[in-house]
Amino acid sequence: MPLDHEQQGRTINRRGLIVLGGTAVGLSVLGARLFHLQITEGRHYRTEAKRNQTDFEVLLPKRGAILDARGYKIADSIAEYDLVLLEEFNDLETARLEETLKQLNLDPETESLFTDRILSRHQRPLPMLRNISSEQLERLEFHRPKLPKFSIRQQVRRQYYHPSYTPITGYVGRADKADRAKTPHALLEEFRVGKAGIEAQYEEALQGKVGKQSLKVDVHGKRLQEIERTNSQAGANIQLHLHGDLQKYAMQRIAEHRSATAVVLDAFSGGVVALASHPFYDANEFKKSLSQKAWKALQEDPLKPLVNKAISGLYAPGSTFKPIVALAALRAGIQPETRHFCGGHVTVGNARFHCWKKHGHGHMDMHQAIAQSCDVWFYQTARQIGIEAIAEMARTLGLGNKSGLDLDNEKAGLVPDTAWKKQKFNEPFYPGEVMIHGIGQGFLLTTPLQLARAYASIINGGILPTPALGHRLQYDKENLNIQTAPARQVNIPRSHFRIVRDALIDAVNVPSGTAWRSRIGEDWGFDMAGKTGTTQVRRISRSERAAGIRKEDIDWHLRDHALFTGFAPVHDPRYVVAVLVEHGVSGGRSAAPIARDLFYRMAQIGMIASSSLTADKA
Amino acid sequence: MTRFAKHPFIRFLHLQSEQIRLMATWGFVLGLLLLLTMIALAVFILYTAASNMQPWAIAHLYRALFGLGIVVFILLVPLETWLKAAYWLYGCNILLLVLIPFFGSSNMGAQRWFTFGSLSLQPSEPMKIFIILALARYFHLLHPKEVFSLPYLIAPVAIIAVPFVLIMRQPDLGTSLMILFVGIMVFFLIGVRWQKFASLIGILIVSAPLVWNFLLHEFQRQRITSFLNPEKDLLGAGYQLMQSKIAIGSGGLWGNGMLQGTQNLLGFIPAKHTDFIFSLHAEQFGFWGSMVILLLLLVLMLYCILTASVMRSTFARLMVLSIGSLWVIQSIVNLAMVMGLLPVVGIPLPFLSYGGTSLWTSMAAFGLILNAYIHQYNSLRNG
Repeated sequence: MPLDHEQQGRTINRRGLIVLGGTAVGLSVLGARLFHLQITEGRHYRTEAKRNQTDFEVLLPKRGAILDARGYKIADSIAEYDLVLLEEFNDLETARLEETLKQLNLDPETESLFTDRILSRHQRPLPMLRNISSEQLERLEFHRPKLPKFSIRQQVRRQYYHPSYTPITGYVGRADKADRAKTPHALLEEFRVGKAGIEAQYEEALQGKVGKQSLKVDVHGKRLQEIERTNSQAGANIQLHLHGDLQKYAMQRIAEHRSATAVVLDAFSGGVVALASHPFYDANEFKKSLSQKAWKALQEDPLKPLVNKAISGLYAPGSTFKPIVALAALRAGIQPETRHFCGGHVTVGNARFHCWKKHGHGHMDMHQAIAQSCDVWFYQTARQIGIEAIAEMARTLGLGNKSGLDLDNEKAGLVPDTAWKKQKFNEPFYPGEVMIHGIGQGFLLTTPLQLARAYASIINGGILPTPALGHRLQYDKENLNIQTAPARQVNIPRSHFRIVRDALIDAVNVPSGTAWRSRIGEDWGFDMAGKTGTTQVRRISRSERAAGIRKEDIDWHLRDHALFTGFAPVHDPRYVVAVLVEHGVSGGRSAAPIARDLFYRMAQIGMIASSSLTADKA
Repeated sequence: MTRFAKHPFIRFLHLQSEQIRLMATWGFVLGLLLLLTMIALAVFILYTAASNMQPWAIAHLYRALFGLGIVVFILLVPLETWLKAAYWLYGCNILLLVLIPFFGSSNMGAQRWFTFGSLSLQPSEPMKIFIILALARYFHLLHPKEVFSLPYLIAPVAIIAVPFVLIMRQPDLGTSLMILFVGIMVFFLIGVRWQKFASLIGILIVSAPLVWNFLLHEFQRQRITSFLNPEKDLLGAGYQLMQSKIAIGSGGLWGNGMLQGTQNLLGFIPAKHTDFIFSLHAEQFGFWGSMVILLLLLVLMLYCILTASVMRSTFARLMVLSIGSLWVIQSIVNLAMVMGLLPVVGIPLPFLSYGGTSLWTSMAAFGLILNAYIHQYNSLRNG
């Protein structure tokens, strides 16, 4: 028996050695695995570990402010506070939801919205309230301990200080596909890019540079410490030529009409001092997500609140075009003393062309024809010099081309000539057509800004400026003047300009002038000059003309457009104003007074020198 | 006085043969040193796990001190008494396992613990030892020739099967597999022929689908499938495994340095103080630090082999070798698990993982090995 046991003992020991061998094999496999994990793949896992614990955050830059000519802010990025829900509610908290909401003291509508959001499965953090008032903020801070899953988050948002600035500033919005191609971080929820106006035009400068922050986080994503940080670089502030007060006034003044626009241009620098269009949307409304319905209403509004009429509205220039025809005539060698008889109309073939003055002006020379806006004189002159001469002068003064203003959606307009007519209609320019182009009608299409620009070159001695809103970019350490396309010297003798300018002065300041009623009173110490324009929206029929129909009796949308383009002060001209009142009946009646009032305001705010005594009186 | 002098421990100090006495003394001392080393290592790693003695290291230390009390108690009781008590202990443990569904506390869908105040005990842990004792006793009393006849193997198969099924139903796949393994190990050590193991493997393969469908719980099946397709379940068990692999791998050759393991510090390692304790060690001490642990395991097994070779009874030999292989297989499975070689089945690393019952079981087992040195020349001697 002991022998058996001895043998069994040996068996056990032998098998123990086999187990030891197995152990060695098992441990070797583990060792090999460790070698693989730690040495062969060590670098990979080290990066993984690093990635695990590191969280990157893009630091959004502060978008640059938009300033007016005096340095006052008209748009800026300011901090707003939002209430966000960080985590899911647990069962207990859901049960206490009602009680919790009571503490927030919300209106019933917001409360139901809150309930929906809290119970929803949307991704957290979930925004609950936007732009909390300071009063609300205080209350929330007080209840903070009872609201552990809520957090107040600071968000920087765009603020426009007055709706009047929207035609210039445009607005910012969430990045779309095209924006993302330009800026990769545009994907971020809070990132905004300029969508229209100055915001879009100077996007690159205003945007600034994003920073990056890498943070050490634990398994719950809790931030432990900052590892690395590249600060964001705030965008440049942009200073405009715009005068904030004048802009506000212009918007307010033209709002007396249903649809109108006005531009004030510095004739020398090309700076746009005011650019108003009515009606217009409010950029602050665009910050919130506009409802589909509201957006549709804006789009379908017949008064076109989404169109900046000063640069995108195309209108026949009407009589405001006559000074340009006069310049063309002078270049064509027509003497200013050339007289034509105005009997109220002129007949060419069997067509009759009417002057606005039914019984005629009598004998007119160029000066009188401009001042009194005699249509017949310009019919005759246009027929004499032809469409090519008119078109060439119009183009010389910048019509038919984009002015180069730093704003989006500017229209080029249309200056027709024989080639254009041939191409478009396969017809020659008929003499009758040439004649109506002499009074700024026909195919001609211009924007109010283009007219202002053309007049600027008339008063500044023949320099066609490039209109500009942006004046300079203020970076952290330096200011950078914005370069516009250089002003162009127009090849027209000064004497020609003088003739036209004198006539424009008389158009306002002589009783027979068309804008006599809108002259600036003597006690202001300066005068304005300019040209009225009234353009037909609808042809007046022979019977209506015979019946002597009152223009006010026509439906609003069929009434004539009213224009005025003028400048002041007459003896040292600097500013050009172009006004257009859609269906304003007559330039002298509705457009010229707006221009006058703008000059008044410019005098009051010191842009135009005037006697201070009278300025106070006004 | 005389009674005390007759105690086997005193007799152990007065062994007749100088050579044997020397060997036994050194074996005992070496074992004690090994045990203390394991405890010290555990306390150290648990300290690095929290960067502090609180909460785990200090508790582990106290538990180890209590465990040393258990060891002393085991040493004082003669091996013969342990042999006699084997079936009783086994029976009582089975009773506890049976009672667990009625009185046990449940945690994460599994009922494994008895809770007494702040103390919770896991009866499946000591079962690993008691099953060794019961089987060792059975085979010790069996005639060596009878080992080779099948009918005599029915009883020990039952000894294994009962706790295996009970623990599997708790459910605790890891521990039940360990029970099964250690049972098979005893069969192997006693000399059951190779063909029988071959047929057993055949049976296992055939019964695998039955086990899958009827014995395994849904979450156990999920763990196995998630191990086989880790990409499918990146947030559950697959995520744990991924994070563990990242921790081990990022250790590199020399490690990130003590208390410098970011995966551990930032909470990315799951169950870092229990099942995944090795991950944070490997993260801090790298490949070489990990090798130290593997080497310690090899030394532990070698120690058991040497111990068994100086034993003079089947009971002691079987017990020592079974305990050694239990540790080794448990360690290998745990390490393979945290390295992504085996599914995550919830087996702690002996001595090193935090957990009272597991530590006390391992220490008690060590106590039994040391006991065998002291009591090897008693009436048990049969070979």
